Amino acid sequence: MNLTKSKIKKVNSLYIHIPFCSKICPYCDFVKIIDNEQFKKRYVDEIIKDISFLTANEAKFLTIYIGGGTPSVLNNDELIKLLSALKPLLKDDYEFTIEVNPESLTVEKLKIFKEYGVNRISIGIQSFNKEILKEINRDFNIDYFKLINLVKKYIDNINVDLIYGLPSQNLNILKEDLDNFIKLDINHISTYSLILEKGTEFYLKGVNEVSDEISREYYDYILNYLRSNGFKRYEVSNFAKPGFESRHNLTYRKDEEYLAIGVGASGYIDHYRYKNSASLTKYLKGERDKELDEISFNDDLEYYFICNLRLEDGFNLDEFKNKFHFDFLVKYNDKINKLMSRGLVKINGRNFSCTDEGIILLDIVLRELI
Amino acid sequence: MKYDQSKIRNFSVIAHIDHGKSTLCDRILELTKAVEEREMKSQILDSLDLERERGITIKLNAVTVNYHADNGEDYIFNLIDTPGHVDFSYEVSRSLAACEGAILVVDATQGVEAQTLANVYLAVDNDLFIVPVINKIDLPSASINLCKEEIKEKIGLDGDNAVLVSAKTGLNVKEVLERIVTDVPAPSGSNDAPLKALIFDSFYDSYRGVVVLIRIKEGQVKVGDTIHLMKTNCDFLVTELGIRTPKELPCDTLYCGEVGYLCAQIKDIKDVRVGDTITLKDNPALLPLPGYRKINPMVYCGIYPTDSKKYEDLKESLEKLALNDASLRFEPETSQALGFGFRCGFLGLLHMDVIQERLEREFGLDLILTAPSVIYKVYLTDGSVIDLDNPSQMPDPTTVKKIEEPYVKAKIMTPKDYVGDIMNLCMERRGIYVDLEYFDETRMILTYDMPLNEIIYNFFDKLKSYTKGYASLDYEIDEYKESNLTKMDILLNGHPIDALSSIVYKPFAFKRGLKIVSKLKEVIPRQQFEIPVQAAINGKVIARSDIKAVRKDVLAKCYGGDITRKKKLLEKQKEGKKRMKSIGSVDVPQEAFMSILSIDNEE
Repeated sequence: MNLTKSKIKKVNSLYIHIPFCSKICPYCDFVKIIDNEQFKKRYVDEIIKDISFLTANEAKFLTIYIGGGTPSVLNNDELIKLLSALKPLLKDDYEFTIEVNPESLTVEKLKIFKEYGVNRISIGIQSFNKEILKEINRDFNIDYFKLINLVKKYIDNINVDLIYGLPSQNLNILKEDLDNFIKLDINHISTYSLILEKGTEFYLKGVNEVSDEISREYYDYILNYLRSNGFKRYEVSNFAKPGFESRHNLTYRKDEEYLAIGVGASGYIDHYRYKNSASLTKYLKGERDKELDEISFNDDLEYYFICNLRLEDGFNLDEFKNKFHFDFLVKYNDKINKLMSRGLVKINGRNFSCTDEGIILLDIVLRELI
Repeated sequence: MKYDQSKIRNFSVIAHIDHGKSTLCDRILELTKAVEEREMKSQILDSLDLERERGITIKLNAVTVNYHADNGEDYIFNLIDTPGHVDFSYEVSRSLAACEGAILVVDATQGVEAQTLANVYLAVDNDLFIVPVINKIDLPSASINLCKEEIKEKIGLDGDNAVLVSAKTGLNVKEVLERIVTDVPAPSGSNDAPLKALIFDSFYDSYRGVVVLIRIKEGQVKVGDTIHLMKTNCDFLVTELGIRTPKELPCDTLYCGEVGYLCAQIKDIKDVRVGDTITLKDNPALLPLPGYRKINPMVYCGIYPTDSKKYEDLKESLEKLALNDASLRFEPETSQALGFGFRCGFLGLLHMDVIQERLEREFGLDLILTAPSVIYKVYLTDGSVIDLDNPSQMPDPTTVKKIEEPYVKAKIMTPKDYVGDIMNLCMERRGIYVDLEYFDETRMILTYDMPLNEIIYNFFDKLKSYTKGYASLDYEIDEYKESNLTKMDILLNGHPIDALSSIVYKPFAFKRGLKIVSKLKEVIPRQQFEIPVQAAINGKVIARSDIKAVRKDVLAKCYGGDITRKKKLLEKQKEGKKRMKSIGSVDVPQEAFMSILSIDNEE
């Protein structure tokens, strides 16, 4: 992978990973570490080095996303250092998102976000239910309504995360949670079905995922409920009011290029997908090991399906032809017919996409296409 | 070396799997300088990759070496290898018949294993002189005295007389060679009698036709002789004779007592049957050598390519394998569910396994095998009889008068503690008790008449697990007997799947049907729609189980930018899907077709 200025300048999205957390959630398999003052300071300095490289190459982004971990555990000085380095990299009409957790968010931090151009905020609420919050080790006694009202004074483009499929959950709890989320009056909701990943606390404890029948029941309920409340499911697990889709998220889904800074973060540029080393020690020493995956034409095609078909609108057939130089409907005729006869995909105008049934059975569709 | 009948020693090596037969053979070849050390591949005699990997010998092999003994004389040793499985017991008996002696290898850390016994008895039946060898004495866990006692008790040989060796290090291997000289008798028979040569193996060579491995029992044979194969009744002109050292060394004549190869432009391996006697057309022997049996495939199954475009490849591959394997049979057949394929006949399940693995490994084919079946004799009301080797072709039941199935006489040798368990097992498998006798103080021999069909369904594995591996099974095909049998169909999504049909014993049908449908429910992956799985007899459903529909199959989680892992997972699943057969709208994995085999009879 040879990154030239011209290649970097073409990329429109940047992801920055902040691996620190004040508590570790028992289901999380992202790269994270318990909050540590000394490491945090050095980590931010290393991040700034990587940002400077981009600045020197005249990078400009339409979307920047700071995720984690928990970026809001950085202290005010660190946040100022980080955000002020990023602000000059924004193009006009940008989207600049930061993930926060309720317990580490303060008015001062909100002010800093606003001052340095952050215009979208993603809050890991997960649930209103005490039992569930206890189960996921996030039992903080916070009034979310007050919190959201406070946030809205500074940033009005808000996402909240909702988790479902936990062992102690049932449909009633989910209904209550959804009611509360709607009352927050926000415009974007990300839903997570509990997935047991190796190495997580839940995995080690032998927690089971709910059956796919129950998971489906929850999913269908969420879908219908949020739709009837004016949300569109624009992606498998993301719901937004019109105009509030996460543009950064869409970069991933539309199989477009993005850069990534920080431990364990993944990027995609110039026919390479890469994943930064997950070792914090190495990162702090200035080492930038990457796992590289060169993307062949065929890989690219597979990624295109994997990403785009998660979107409710799927992909545009003309855009497909421009990118791959062949006609999707012609070459995939048999497979499309088969999937269509099973009610899994549809063609709407010049868009090819999954049906509602197809989205929830997306892997069946993908195994057919790839 | 000049021919001298008194200086010839013909012997084979008998051992349990892993007891070091191949390593010992390698050392013998090294010591006699048959193979230069630099040419030594580990385990020279097992020439197929598969054999080397599984540690079992499937095809026979024979090697001629010179040995300069301590008494100053030079000897010719013919080492004849034997296959190691019950499917091939007839071949074993013929290769033993080509010898005067046998080395019995016992692992010093394991003792005498039950499976070795069957072959030792075969050797004793063939009047072979046995040289016991205790191997692996260099291992710390070796218990030599115990081995000696076992050799005495279980086999009835003098254990103190055993040679103690380490085939791995070569320790005392020379002593084994000396004992062959002193203990194994030279071949008898007369050079002047009419030719009698025993065929104990053959293989196909694309330039010379079938190469026949023979032991001259009487008389001699020369290049240019016209030979007569007494059982297949064919004549051929001998074009080449020789010995294998293991390199081929052509010669003009093979004399009485010698072991070597013979070529005679034989095109079809089926003309050359193991156990047949070769004599001369002009001066024929009166009687053939004893012990010949025509071996026929006992077990049939359908073999289909997963990808129907590979039919021609499968055909070519089977043809190639059959060139070297007279007992492999195949005929084209068509299945509604599986498309075009072949009905293939095998000596037994191991033979079937080996052929499947060779097709997949050496020819790169992805295959689906249907459950094995025996040959049934179906008597129709119009007086005709059908040999039925494919359950799906069972005629309409109203036209069937009676069905007969092949029975075997099964002899099971077991430590007496397990007799009760084994009798239960045999009863469950419709065995008819014949006899129970003491073999020695600790072991008994049970004799049962049993349907072959019940033996091929896992019987051997069951027997082993019931007896911690101590029982040995030997069976001979006996006669056909009438049984209360019927065809059981399996329906997926309401459609009968011909490749899943089987012939069952009626009183067991309900239980078996239930087990098959629940097994299929386990192995067929859930799909988009609910799939009923039914077992039916004459159109009447007797068991049912439903494969529930997949309700959710997507990662409903925001996993950020790392989709590489997801792609790899999907690709892996896709690979798995490729190995399935799409029947109607149902993807059925390979193992589903063999599921009848893996259901247990009790529980």
